[in-house]
Amino acid sequence: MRNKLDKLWSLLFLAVPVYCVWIFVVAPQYGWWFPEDVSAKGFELDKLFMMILTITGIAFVITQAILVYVVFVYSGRVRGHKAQFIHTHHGIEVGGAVLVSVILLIVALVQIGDWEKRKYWNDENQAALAAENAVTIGVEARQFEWRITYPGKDGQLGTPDDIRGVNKLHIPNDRPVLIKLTSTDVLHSFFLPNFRVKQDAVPGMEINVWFQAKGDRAGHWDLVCAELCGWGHYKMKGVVVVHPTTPSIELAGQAALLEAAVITHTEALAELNETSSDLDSGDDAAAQRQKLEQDRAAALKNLTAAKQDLALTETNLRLGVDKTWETWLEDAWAAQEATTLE
Amino acid sequence: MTHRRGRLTFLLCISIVALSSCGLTVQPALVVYPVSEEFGLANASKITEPQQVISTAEFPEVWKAQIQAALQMYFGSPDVPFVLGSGEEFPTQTLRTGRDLFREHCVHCHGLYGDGDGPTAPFLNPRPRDFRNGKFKFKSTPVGKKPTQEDIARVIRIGAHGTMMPSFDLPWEMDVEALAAYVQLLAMRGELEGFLIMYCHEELDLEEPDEGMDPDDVSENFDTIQSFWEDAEDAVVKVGATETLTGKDLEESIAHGKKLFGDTAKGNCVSCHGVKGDGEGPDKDNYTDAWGEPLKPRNLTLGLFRGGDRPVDIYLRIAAGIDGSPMPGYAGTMTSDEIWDVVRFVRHLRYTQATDEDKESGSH
Repeated sequence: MRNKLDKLWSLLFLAVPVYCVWIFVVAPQYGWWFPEDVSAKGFELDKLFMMILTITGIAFVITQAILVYVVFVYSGRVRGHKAQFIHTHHGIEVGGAVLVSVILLIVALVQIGDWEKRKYWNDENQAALAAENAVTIGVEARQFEWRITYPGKDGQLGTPDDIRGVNKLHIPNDRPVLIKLTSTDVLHSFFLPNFRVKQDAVPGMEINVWFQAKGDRAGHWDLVCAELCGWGHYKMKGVVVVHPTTPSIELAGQAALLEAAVITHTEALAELNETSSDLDSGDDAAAQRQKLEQDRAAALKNLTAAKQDLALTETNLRLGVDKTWETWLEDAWAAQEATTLE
Repeated sequence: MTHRRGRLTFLLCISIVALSSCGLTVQPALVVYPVSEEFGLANASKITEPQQVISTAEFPEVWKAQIQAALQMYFGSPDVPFVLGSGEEFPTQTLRTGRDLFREHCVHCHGLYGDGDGPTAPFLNPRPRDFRNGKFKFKSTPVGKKPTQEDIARVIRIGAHGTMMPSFDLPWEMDVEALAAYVQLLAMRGELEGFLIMYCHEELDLEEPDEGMDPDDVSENFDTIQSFWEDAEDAVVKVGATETLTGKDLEESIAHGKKLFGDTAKGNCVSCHGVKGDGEGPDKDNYTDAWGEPLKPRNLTLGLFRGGDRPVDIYLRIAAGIDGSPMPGYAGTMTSDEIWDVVRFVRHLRYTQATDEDKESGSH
């Protein structure tokens, strides 16, 4: 009896790794995985992550399997006989150290290129700067906001034609962006989940961050602080606004269509709600009721989706996502140089 | 046996924890606005003349209760805010939204009653604004007038660069207008409190505490405060028309602005802001603000303009003055063109220091 109970315990040990692996397998399905990648080169970091996850995953499965096997087979055997304890075994120690070092070395070598692309003036970045294709933007983190500076026509930061903003980082799509990251007070962390960018802002240092938005995406995504920086850390939240290359997006028209859709869906739902009270208790009442519930669920889903789309479109409209980056900069410059109260 | 005892101890511990946490949740409800212990209603003043502060410590309980009752009658309570008789201007839902936003984002600095004494306040320099004397610095109306709600909303949106007031510019997540309305309510409430304390101090006799305040006088005070705020929209300073200058015109304008900046008969900005505009003028240590804190003139070379750095913002600071500070309005002393010249000079200052340093480092 005792013996069997011990075996049961080993199965409990087995449940932990099985549960962990299962979570990873189903995670993408439930949206527990990465946020949408809207950057041109974020997939490289995702690949790096997957590589490390695979290595650690395999190691995890092997060690757990051995653990569970040993506990299962040897539990409850031969009472009064202690397990043997090996103090030193050079072979195992050296083997383990070499194996881990080799794996770490592989990871280190594989990531060099990605690191360089994001932090340093490698050839590709230099070429982009020389060809005036890259955009330089100053981001100054402070408790508790992001102060953003765009160079004016001269392309230089710190000159009278700078354009200043706060919390909203506007970038063009399909062009490399170089962020000059500084902090005026404490450590902050410049985190763009959708661009796979996360970099600490350190007072007294100017740190380069390179990234690029995908060519076909315009819209707005989160900019957050990922380093606990004080009481207002929660509100160091901004947005990255990606502007299209050509002003082809008809956001105003889209918003009007979505508004109409919301009205239609609301009416449809109201009609279905009225029908439900009219249903009599005939033979097929149950079937009718079931169908009605299905229709109503579908209508509600449509309405919610339309409302979400509308809110998103309205925010995009407010942020000027339908303009090109150049047009937006001109507008921002005009607003900054305002000599009248609207 | 030992097992059972262990289990009993465990249960006992659990129940003690549960009971004590129940006790913690029963907190006194925040029903009414308290009466401040002391109240200063002075303006910005010379540092040698400390502002007059009225202490309510000696007030009889009857007066305090009356003040509290009056505040409750006109403005409700922190939980149920309203402005008596202004349901249209201050809809209930707007005030509730504003109240919730204020409690979420503002309360830890500005305090629950808007007295600028939240938990983080002692650590900040400058101190968070105390709304109780109804003075706001960065607005489009002259010194002595109230800001418009739009002015308050703008400060919430852009923050006050150079202070601990950050930008709250995520309009799709937060109804800034509602928040501004609630801030106005807090300011009106604070000012009424101040007026009533002043009234008790001056009109009532400590020897006869039971006489108390005359309700008509109270309502008169409330009406006065309300009319102050109603006048704000009409008091907005007229901004003189100008053009955006470039090249030589700009240089000339900046040079003229510099002259006016130093002219003791015109701007006389140098007396406080110094010849370089770095806030090192001869009068720099002579003033306190309306909240009783020593106030240094702004260093204009840093490019940190608390009320915003658009030309029109700086125009307003110069033309209308800054309420609660010794900065006067110059609308009467200078023409709008002259003010615009000073604006261009002041906006240019942030680049002068950099270029001087560049020149120095270049010559080495």
